[in-house]
Amino acid sequence: MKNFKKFLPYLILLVVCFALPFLFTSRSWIQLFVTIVINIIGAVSLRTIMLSGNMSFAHGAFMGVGAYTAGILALKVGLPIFITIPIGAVAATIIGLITGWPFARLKSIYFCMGTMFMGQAIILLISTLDIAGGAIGLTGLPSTGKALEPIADALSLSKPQVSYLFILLVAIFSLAVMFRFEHSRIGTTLRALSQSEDVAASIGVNPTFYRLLAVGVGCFFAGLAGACSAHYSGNLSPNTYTMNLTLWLIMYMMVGGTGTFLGPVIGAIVVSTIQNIANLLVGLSGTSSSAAFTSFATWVGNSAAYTPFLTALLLLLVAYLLPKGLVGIPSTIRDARAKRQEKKEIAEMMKGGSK
Amino acid sequence: MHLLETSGLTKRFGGLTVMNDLDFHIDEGEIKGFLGPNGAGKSTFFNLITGVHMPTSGHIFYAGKEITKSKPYQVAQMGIGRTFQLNPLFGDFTVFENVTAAYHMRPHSTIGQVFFNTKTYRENEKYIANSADEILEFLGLSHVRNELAKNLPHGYQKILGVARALATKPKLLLLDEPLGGMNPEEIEFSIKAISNMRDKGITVLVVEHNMQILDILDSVTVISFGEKIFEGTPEGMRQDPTVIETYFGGTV
Repeated sequence: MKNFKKFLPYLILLVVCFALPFLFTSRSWIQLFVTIVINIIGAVSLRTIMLSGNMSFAHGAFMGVGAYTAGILALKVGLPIFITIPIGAVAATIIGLITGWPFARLKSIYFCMGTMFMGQAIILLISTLDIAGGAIGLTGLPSTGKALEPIADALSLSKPQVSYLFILLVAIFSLAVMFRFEHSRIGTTLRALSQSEDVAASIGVNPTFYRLLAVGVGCFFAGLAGACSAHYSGNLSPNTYTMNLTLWLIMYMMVGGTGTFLGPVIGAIVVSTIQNIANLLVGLSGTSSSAAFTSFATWVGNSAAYTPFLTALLLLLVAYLLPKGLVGIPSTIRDARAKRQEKKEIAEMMKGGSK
Repeated sequence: MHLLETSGLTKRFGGLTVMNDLDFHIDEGEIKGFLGPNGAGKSTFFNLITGVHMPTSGHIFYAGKEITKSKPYQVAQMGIGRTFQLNPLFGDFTVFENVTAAYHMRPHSTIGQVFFNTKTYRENEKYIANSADEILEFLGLSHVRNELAKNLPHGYQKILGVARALATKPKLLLLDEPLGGMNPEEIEFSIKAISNMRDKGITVLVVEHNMQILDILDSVTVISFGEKIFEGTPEGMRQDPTVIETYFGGTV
């Protein structure tokens, strides 16, 4: 029963996720859902690396490595997407481990700055390759919708619907593995390492090994997410995988709350929605006949420049009011209530005493 | 063969010599004191043994193997446990988690077993929980098992540091001022616990200012400004003129 209560939020989230493409069938809506699911994998895998106490600023680049590897293999070698996607994830892991090796000994700001520039270097390097389409990137990738067409026909679903469901399954697999990882002895060791490296070493923890282990697992799922998104949209550009992407991933994590597994999931849902609301409305207005809606969508589209501002505002609110992030809302309310109750009791006691 | 032995151990920080040509040894089953006034180089000695600092020259041998260049985690894996003077903890872990964190290497579960939560993994976890509870019981921390480590009073935190070190199943335990900042009851309890470790087959090397520890020591090394000034029994130390001069600045 206790276990059931613990898993209830996950269960609700799961049911909602599966129901979404049937409630909102339009392509624009499903585009939003796919973006959110990809961002969830990205944010959760970034948090997996952060468990060891270091914030990687190269995470977006590793999504790019996964995307590019999958894209090149699909276009130049002609492999099917069910092979290119896992290979993309493996490639991101390998590049992550090789480049992470020298950085795994660094701490705090040194790790941040080092990974930040290395991440940019990786993407710049890829975009100089002819095989990767240079500064333009790759287009005409085999799409998930096309590959899943037989299933879509058999279940009489649309291509976007079946693509979304496929990516959702990938996300569920990813989150399940990372959940196990965090809640195992390895996760405990990583959290110990993040609290005090000296103490951790004194009980025999090899800091470099454990940091690299976290980097490896985190990069694997970053690569997986990147490869899925490239195959969903059918094209990829080096501009997608800049520093900006990493910063947004960090934002999802911070707004949602870094303390729990569910934090980056909630953060990715809320912030990605804010980020993409303009795209969604503009997309929907194309199919809508209502003039009022179209002008509203245009207005929001023109105001899309305010997205970073809104997100910063949200972060500020979270930092002031919800120290545990959005995911901490229930416990913050509970704490506040308990405090008020306590104050009341003390006040009554004082009254009683003064009589 | 000594359990731990150093020969000609020297450490300089820039022009400052904090440890000069120290020959030291501790035998299996001993409880040995490593004493000296403030700034004598006691903590430096621990840091040299455990690989936190590299010695400028000299050698360290543990169970016949040279460990001079070993890293802190390697030294720990070989069976040398330690506590710290300023006693850092995993503050956001509970007392219980602080101890179980030390079990990451044994019993060993493979990554595959961890991911699939196999029977072996669960049995290992069960063993870890039981074993950690035993250690908490032994050191009288059972009643604060589920408290966050950072919320404990100072004396308990010190004892928790010892519990964490014990959980690595060390052959040799290095205690850096285990009685520092404790109240008289805690001191009495801790001294008894340290002397009980001998029965568990653990060799203990203890750095301490509090002379109450002398009662349970088998032998003592006293250093001053990085040089050994006395080696022998606690009784001998109390009467040694050089030691008295170093501690009290004259004859008593």
